[in-house]
Amino acid sequence: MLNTENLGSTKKNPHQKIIFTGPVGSGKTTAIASISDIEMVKTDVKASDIAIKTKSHGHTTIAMDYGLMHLDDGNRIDLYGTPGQERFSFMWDILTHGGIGLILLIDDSRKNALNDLDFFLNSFQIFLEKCPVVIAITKVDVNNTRTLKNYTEHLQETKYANTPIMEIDARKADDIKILLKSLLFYIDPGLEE
Amino acid sequence: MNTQTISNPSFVNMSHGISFPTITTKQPIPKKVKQVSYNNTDNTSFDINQGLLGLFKKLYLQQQSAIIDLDEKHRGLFYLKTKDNILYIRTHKNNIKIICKQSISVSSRELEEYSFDAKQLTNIRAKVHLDRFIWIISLLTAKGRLPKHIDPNKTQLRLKHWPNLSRYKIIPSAIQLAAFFSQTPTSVAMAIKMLGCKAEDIHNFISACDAINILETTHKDKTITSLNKELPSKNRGLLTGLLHRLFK
Repeated sequence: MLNTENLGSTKKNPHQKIIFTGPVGSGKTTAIASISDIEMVKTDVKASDIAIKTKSHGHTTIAMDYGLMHLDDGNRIDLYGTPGQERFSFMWDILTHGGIGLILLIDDSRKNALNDLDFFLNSFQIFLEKCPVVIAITKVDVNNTRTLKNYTEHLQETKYANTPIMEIDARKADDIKILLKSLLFYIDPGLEE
Repeated sequence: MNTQTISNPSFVNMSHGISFPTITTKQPIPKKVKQVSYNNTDNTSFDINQGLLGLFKKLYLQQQSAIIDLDEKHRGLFYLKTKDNILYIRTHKNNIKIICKQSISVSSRELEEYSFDAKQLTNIRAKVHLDRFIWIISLLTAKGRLPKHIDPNKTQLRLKHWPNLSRYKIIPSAIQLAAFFSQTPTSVAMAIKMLGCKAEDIHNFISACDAINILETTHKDKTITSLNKELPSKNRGLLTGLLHRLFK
């Protein structure tokens, strides 16, 4: 099935977008901030429930984060971060509309990180039928309870066995660039560097 | 809407069903296709199962913790805790380079994990992730060559899963190669032809993936001359623009 809607005419949709998602505290806001050309637009509030346990700065995203990258030809790529909490999941469909790919960040320090992986892949299932996902494992040095192999073995049993997956530090722009390059080459391995 | 649609179903799979619009006025750059010829007598292959790399590859595959010695004096240059993906190194990095380059033989003995205490280990030069170390010594050993069990024309290669590229020593074109070989089982020669990457980079990448046991190989009787899936031939304006931005 062709997704002409996602990469439509430049007149209708002059800018394309990449979506960052994942559970609360997985590093979505930080990841976007590390590569955005503009100061992030945030919609965060003081975390009041479970989110506060995973947020060192005590704030969590409730609607979206927004950043962008300017391209040489005048085009731009919009970067959207979804809220991590499931109760704001109505925003997920809205934000993925017109996206070209998904970056899924999984916080390895969470007890049920593998369940988080399944949950988010399942939640974005319709979008992922048309667009690729790249999986980024964050905070791997916090508990050292799992290795990347645990995730790749877990994915082997799913349709996402070939999906790009790697450890990252969301604060490091170079790591986020590798994620985005992986997404682009996964869409089209024939791209010229 | 100026959208290029593709009727080839194989391409639809490859591109995740995305059709790409004409976004810039620039024409796509024609792919530089390299003609590659291999002969069996030149120095383009090596035995990946020999020497230090061969031993690490075997122990990693078997998930076997071990101590690696250079000679019979049992000085223990490397202590591998394979299940934890940890390696303790007790020799200088220059020695490691020499061992790899000169294919010096090494031996291993069992590491009894229940009685092993890393705190009692003296002269530890480094504690590293085992898979990252194997990736590095595969590059030191391969030096742009291909493992000899892989026929560049007839062995079909596929990645079992994506390598942890953000944490491995950089190989030029590694991300592109990972994307290609994880989705398109094919030969080394076809990859060079289709992607235009340097043969040495592909050889190093394949050697490293083989060493960490994420490479699946299938030998074909005839030279592989086509891809199971076609590469997209769409307008790549937006993706190329973003890629260039990321390489800045």
